[in-house]
Amino acid sequence: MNPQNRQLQEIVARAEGEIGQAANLHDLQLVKSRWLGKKSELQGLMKLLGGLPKEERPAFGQRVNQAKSQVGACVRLREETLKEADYLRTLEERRLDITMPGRRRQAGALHPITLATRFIEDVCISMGFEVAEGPDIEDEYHNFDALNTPDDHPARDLSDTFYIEDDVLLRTQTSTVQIRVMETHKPPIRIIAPGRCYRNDNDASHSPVFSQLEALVVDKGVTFADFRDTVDIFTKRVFGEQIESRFRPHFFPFTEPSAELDILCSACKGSGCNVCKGSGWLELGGAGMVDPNVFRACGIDPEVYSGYAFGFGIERVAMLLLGIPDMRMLFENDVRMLRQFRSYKGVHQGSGASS
Amino acid sequence: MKISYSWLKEYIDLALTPEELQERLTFSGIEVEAVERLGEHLGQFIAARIQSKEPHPNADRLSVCQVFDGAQEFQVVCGAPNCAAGQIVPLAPVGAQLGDFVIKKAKLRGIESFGMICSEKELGLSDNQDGIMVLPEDTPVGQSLADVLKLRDVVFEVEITPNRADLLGMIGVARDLAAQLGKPLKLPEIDVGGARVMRYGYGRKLDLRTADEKQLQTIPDIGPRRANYIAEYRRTTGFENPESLLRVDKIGRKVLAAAQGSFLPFGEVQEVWQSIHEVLKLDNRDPERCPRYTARFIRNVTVGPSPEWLQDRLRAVGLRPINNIVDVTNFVMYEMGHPLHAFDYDLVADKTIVVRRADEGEEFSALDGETYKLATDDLVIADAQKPIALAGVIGGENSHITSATRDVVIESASFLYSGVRRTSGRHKIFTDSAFRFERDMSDQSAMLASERCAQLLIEVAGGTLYSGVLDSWPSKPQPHCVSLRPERVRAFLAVDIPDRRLIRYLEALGCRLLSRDEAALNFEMPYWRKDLTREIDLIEEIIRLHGYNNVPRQTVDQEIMDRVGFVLRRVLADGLVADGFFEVVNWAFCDPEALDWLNLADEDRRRFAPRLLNPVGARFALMQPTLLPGLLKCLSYNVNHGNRDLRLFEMTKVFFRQDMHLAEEEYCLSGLICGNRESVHWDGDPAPVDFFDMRGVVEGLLEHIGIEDAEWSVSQEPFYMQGMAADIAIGGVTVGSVGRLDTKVLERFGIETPVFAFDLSVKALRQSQPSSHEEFRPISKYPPVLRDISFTLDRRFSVEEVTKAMRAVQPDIIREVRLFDQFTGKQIAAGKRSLSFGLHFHSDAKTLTDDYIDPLFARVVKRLEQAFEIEMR
Ligand SMILES: [Zn+2]
Repeated sequence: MNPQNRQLQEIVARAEGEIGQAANLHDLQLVKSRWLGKKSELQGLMKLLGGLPKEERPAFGQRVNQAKSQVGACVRLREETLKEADYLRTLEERRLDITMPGRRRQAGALHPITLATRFIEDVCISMGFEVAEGPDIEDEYHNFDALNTPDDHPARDLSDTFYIEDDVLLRTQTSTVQIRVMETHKPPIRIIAPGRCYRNDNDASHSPVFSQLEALVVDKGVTFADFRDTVDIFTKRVFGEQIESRFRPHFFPFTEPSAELDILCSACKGSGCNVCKGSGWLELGGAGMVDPNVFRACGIDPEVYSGYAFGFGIERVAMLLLGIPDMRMLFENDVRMLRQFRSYKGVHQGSGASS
Repeated sequence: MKISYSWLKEYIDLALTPEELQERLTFSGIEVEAVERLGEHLGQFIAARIQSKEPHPNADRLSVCQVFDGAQEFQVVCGAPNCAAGQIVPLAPVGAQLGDFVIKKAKLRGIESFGMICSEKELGLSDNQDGIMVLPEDTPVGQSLADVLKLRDVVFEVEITPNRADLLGMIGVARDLAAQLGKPLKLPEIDVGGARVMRYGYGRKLDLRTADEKQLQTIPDIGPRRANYIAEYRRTTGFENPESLLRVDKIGRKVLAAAQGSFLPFGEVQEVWQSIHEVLKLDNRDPERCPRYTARFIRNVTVGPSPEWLQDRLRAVGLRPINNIVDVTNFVMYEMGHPLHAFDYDLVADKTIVVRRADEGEEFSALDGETYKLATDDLVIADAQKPIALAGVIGGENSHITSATRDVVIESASFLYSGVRRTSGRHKIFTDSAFRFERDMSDQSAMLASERCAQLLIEVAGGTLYSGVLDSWPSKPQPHCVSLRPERVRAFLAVDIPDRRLIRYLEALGCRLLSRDEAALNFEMPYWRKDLTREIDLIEEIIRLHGYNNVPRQTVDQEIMDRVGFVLRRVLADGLVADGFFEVVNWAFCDPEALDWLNLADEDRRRFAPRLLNPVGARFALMQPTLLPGLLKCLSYNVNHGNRDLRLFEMTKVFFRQDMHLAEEEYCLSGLICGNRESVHWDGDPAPVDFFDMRGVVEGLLEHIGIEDAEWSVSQEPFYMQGMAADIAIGGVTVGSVGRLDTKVLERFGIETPVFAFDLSVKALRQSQPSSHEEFRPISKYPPVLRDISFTLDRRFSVEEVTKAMRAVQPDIIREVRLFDQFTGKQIAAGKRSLSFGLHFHSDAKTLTDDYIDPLFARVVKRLEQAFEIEMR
């Protein structure tokens, strides 16, 4: 081996050593220009070329170039290694704690009474009912007379009803809407009337302001069997497929026959518990076939048409569906409670969903 | 399928205009996809007489004609060799549109010409361009060509639903219309036996002066006895005037009128008929696929062009006239809906027609010029040797009618629809015939179409119809019967339709009342309505004829059943919940003192709240006229229980009562926010809410319900802090307000923290809400250009007025002006502020260049300088 070649080998070895030592990309750049730049030792060797015998020149030139590309390849390899290390380091530095909370506006919530109202409305709308409304401030005629409530009926007592004037009052039930609908619409009628009602009592299970929902169906050939079936479908869709309903004979002035509507206690499924006071049943509301006198008051021929109505308090349903123990909590509007009912479970997800 | 208005009128007295007919068709379930007015372009051409013809002095081939259009004479230069004096010709006067060019006054080789005499091709009537078109001698001069040629027609392109095979012909459509309109259906009376006479149609009209006794006998209103009297009378009196027949015994005005309106039977009335059985045999080997096959035979027809009326009919429905034989089969298909086919008898080998399955790979050259390799599933009509038609789909090249045809076989058959569909699909041959057979043609109409075809063929092509018909119909379908309970109809439709009207509707459709008992009417369905199989099908027909829109609708009282308001309230509540609000529900009562706390003036509407005679307590004496006191009570309760960042709303009724029987009740939506904008987040510090948070809430709500152009002005509501509240109006109507509640007001409700409120009338929002959905607006293909502008101006000018002024400079280009910075501080003089806006320039028509925008921008600056004394920064 001639001395030039040895020198070449030695240079390459030193260069590779330094390249391997370069700790980062910046250092590597300095090393690179030192060994491959214009003033590098390898470049200097080229000057020796003139001193060589003519026949050795090409071979030597070639070797110098080989050495250059060897050093160049070594630089690139080191560069890749350093970049990869850099990348991994960056990843490590930027690693997120993905368990930290996201940035967003906290959602609010509808009130439990609204949730229950909507849920029942949606059940009824899916059963073909139209939503109807009437005034909260009513006259005696729509609240009592047209509903076949005689003058001496205890319901007309001033102590039960809020009055604004002699014959202007706050409706005591949403049945007033039935009358208003029947006065203005020809059968077939299939409506629900959700709305607020007012009664002058205030205790743990009664609020002077409460919400009711009543359903009314009037058509030719509507039978008690239709009635029973509709109520059954309704209660099962609202409370769950396993929640049976039953009618208990009762008296309401505006229906004949009248019944109290009970549902199986959703807490104990009928075996008896505190919620149902051991009976296994919960009283939901009232129901009945529309009294012929009510039809007559609205100009509907009871010989031709028949119908039924049922209604209940929405607060009670909200409490049952959401497990709220005390009606007064509903009107406190404590956001700590409101916050608990953020997600609305619609008709198809509700407790009534079975199919 | 195309329906010709004038063709339809052959079968029904239509008093409807084409527009009314279109409406009628649509509401009877026949969807009209397009309407074409034929002959409209011919209206401008007029029939004119060539008074004289002189050779053109400067051109050998041209001649100079003097033409009379009924009013005046024109000089017209004509190049057609066939033009001659005395001819009535179509003239395109100056101004008429001919194809792409308009006829103008012109000089042809030095001679002036005022119009153009047209060829058939130039008029778009045919491909004939051998000289000008010559009209019949008796054509009234001056009449429009559309009327001369009776080409005015309206053609409806309609979509027939697949269940209604009966509507695939004019008569079917006419029958349906007749049923709807309660008009009689005028069917062409078809006769092929010589005994019956067609009453409507295209036969020769009876001429009482020349008809022989035998012909007279065939007219039902005359009969053999009167025929004899008439013949006798004519012989003895030298009869001239048909009126004089009134002197004949047994002939009154009624008989005479009827006789004069009659048509002669077609063809020759023969004593002895030759029978088809002597010349043709039929072998139906696949009655399942071909439930019925009929053939008739006519000897010695003359093949040629069809008469005009026939060609016109076919052209109107988009068919090309071919020759009289083929044209008649097409005519009958479009008239009766049933496709048929005619063969050249001479080309039928062994004079035998065989209905059979094809052999696998059997070759068949069809009329479309293609050769098909058949499958065994294909049904063919064959002679003794070869297929001559692909059954129900297409005829064969080897047997079709040519000018050399002398004797014709008329095939009219019914084929199993599924088989036709398979064959048509397999070979991708889609013909009018296949289209119809795929929709299940009836066996019975095959015979009717055959008779009608024979009748018309003899009329337009002459020849002798052999008696009898080859008819293979091994299993006749039983008529289908359906019982209809009228009570059920009335109950189902909730329409009071008396029984006799039900019967009339169904009979008009061809149903036959067989019997009736207490509960039900029993109908036999017409063979052409295979789609009627159940009671509900009849109920559908009844309500269709009665009119879907004649069913009384329940009037929906908006106050009582306000669906829009119902949905709006849900949308508003959902929008607020998504924006972090919690809904609260309060009793609907109000403490009278709370109205004082809100600083409400004595004359404020909210002071007129209904007062209870027997309230639960003095603090609950009123029905609430505003939701704010209740909400403030909830806010206070929650703040006292440690919830400081609150977003609350309530939506329910408020009440007002001023000298009225009951009260005014309307839905109101109010909300409050206090505390910090966001609950504590690890990334960034919480900031307290301000006016613009609450304004943003309301902006979002309005946008959510489709209200875009709210106007904001300084609010005078007494419970807000001065200068920190806005009234919101839409189209000039105030819908509510938003602002910071006055500190003193809050103190009275026991609240120390700043609270911002909004108060909206749901009733007003409902009325301001756009009634329709947003419409799609095309997105510009061109890029928008954004330019910023910053300037200082006096604080008395509002951002809204500045924004509006900038947009107003050119609203179609300056699409949006968006404030992105406000700055006050040391560098800005007292009483002034610096504002920065982004201006979005955008055009639907072009790319906006600097050359365009620079002057526009300068105009904006100038406008601002003039109106607001701005200083650019
Ligand atoms: Zn229980």
